[in-house]
Amino acid sequence: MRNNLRVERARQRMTQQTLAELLGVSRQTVNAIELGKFNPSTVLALKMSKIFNLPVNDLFELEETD
Amino acid sequence: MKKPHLLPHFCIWIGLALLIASAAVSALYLFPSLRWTFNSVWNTAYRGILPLSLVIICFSKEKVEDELITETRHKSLLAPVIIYFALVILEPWASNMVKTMAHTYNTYVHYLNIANSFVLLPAAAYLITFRIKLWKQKKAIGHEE
Repeated sequence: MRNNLRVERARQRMTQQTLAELLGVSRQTVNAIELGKFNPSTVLALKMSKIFNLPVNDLFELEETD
Repeated sequence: MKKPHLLPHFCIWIGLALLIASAAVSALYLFPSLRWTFNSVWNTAYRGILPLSLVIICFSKEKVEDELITETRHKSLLAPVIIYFALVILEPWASNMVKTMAHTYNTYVHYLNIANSFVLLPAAAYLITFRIKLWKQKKAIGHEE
């Protein structure tokens, strides 16, 4: 699964730490999601979509291998 | 999100203190002159407190217990499960070997109690795997913002 989290975060001039605090997770988690090493739960994905004010599909997209 | 049923974070420090103390007392057995003086203390430390401290550390929450940590915990369970089954399979052979060694060489190996390793080895394997995975995650974030 690909994601545009880093791009959206940069667009909103938000640090990983700020996003982590808003989501109630650690900075490691935000970093792991951005690097594609960890797929967040639906709850976390919906929280992100709320923070960035974007549909979940704009933040995450399936790859051919998924 | 559903919260995992774990001990509070401060229990890690209690577990660590108990681990260091019990490991130090267990190490006393390596000194033959002290062996019989501290026998009951050694028994309590090695067979009781040492496994208990490892279990406390394993089941204590991290500072931020989020879903990445939960997934890391789940992934770290594979190694201890394999070790546990290996112990179950090898136990009759191993206990026989330990008895023979103790009889032949008059060593202290029989005191290293096979049953104790059913808790010690899987718990230690879990802790090592979990900590290495956490360390790798922390290393990966670097200073990038």
